[in-house]
Amino acid sequence: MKAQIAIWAGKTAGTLSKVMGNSGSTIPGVVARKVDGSFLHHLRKHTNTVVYITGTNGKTTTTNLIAHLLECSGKRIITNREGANMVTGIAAAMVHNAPLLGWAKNDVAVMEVDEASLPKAVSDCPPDYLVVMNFFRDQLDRYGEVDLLIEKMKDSLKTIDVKLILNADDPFVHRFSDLNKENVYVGLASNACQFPNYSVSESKYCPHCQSELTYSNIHFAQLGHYQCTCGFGRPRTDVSAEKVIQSPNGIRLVVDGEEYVTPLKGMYNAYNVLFAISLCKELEMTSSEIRKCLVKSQRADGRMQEFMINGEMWRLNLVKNPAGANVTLSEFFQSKQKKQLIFCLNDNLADGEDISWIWDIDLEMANRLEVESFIASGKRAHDVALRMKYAGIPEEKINIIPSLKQAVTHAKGKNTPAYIMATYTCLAPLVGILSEEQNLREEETFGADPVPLLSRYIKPIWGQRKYHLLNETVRMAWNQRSGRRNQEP
Amino acid sequence: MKRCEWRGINVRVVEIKNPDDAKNSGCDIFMIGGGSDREQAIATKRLAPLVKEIKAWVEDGVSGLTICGGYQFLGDYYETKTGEKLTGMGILPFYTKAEDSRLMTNILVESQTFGRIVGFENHGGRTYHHFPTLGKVVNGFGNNGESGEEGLHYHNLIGTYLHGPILPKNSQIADYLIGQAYERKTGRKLEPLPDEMEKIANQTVWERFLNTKPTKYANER
Repeated sequence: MKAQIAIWAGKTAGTLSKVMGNSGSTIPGVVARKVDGSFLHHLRKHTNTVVYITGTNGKTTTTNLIAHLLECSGKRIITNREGANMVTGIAAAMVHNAPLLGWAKNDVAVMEVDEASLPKAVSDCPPDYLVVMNFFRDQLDRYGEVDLLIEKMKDSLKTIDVKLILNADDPFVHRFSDLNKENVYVGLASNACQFPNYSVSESKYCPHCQSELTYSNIHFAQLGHYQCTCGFGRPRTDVSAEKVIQSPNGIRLVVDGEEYVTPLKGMYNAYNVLFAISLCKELEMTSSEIRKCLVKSQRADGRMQEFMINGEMWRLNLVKNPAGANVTLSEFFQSKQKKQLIFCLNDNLADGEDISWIWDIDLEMANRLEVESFIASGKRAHDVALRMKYAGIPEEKINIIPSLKQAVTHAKGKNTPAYIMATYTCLAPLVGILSEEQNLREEETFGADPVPLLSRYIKPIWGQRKYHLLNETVRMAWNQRSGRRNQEP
Repeated sequence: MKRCEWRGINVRVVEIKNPDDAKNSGCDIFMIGGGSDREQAIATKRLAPLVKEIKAWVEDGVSGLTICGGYQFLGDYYETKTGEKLTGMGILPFYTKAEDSRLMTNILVESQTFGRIVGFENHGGRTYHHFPTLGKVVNGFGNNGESGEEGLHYHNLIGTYLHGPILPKNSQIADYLIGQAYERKTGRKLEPLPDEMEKIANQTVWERFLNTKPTKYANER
């Protein structure tokens, strides 16, 4: 009964919050857990299999992929798709999923779980599978908190029966091995792919004896084939990607001799896809089912998302830490096309208040001729600009425009596509702004709109046909006057 | 390093991985960063044979910048939350004591020598000493959250909890360290650089966080 009231309260709170104009993705969860402290227990009761996905980078994409694949194979799933990955986010997903009365019965719960929230999530609702993707250096790591974090995560797993899907290539993740659970090791074979190089010092030290690890093959950051003199080394993999091939339409993977085609772009998605394949195989999806469903998968918002603006393909990618930012830059510079680079940095709680990590990004690599202009944006635009300056980028190429909207407008004025890196709280507003720009353009396929406001305000009232007549008339008059007729396409 | 490069001063950076690296470096500026308690203890142990050398540098007026853990371990010891005393390098007589809450916030410091200093602090340790400081905390916590002072400034050695990192937005400190070293080596004064962007970035942070309330974070999440 308590749970039922919690669901109703959560649903009401969610609706109210939406009415008041908040996106409120976790509010229903916050409220539900206030009413019923053990709300997450019910997820365990009403779901056959519970899967958690955790790690620094790639959680959201992998969670979405797994959810998509399972759904495509006919499973009933519950998931926190929006990247709301704290305990409240999971609770919110449960509120959304529940019908007005009682609970929906699900085959699989696919939940992205923030590293710090994992112990709580595990104690409230122990998972059957845990995917541990990677641990990258970020501001926490500077203070040794990652050591602590990993130990806490491991402690929470000690007493439960769980199967671990572990990244064999990450020495930090390998530390989960001594829990003596059933482990599935997943990794990229040596020379499976060529990740673009960037120079940044990652801490590559053995977690046991603190000696420097030696690598026979580095994929990127601390991921690769490592070995320590003390005997600690990369475990033998159970699932291995022998080859990752990049093509304009997405990446292709050869996993244990079988080829998988994905529409996901960017080498760094190799791990995400590999984890998704491994987990789905655990849940007894066949290779051919996975292959069939993988083709139809879509990327999440703001993950190498493309926008067609002014006839140019713009790109937007989320960045949270130096490792992710470096990979993003490498992806951006795969093409030698002329471009602009926008870096939007906020310092809200969800972004991390400490923004010093931007100094560990190899922005020096962005200092190249093909990048014609740089825009520093967001609440910490000035910090971004300084970082760019100290990367050797000429000051006259750096524009400081804190407003995201104005940054996009400024970039639109140039005839080159903008490639945008954005921190978490910049992402949603940017997706909004860019989608709007993209739609605006679609409405104006008849040519440059002389009075852009018309399309926004008159069209909805008059309808498409009448609007075009008006638009055409205005445009002809305009062209006559300014004598630009010949320049129109 | 960039600021030297822009002035046409050649700089060689030597990473100290073992004591011999430092003995042979003949350095003009040294810098010690921070790490976790565990890493810090390892680093301090490895640096032990160098303590005499570093002491001589400091007394001799070599420019030095030590941050967070590097600053704490200049002192005699670092007392952890469990009461364990980790031995410091003992370059200067002072100590640091860890407490439960973490001092983690944007920090503003008004300094007589350097003017307005901005940065980010994130430390569990509270440092107590009687040496001259960098300046008065205008917002944030500083050395120990009680004295209202931040950092340490002794000869040309600076110890501080500010990162962010400290130097780009406080180019006056970067130029102080470079300037002292340059003058010591060549007898000449350092030429100023155009610092418009640095100054605006400093000012922006100063104005934004002047009236915010810093909160202490519990160490456990």
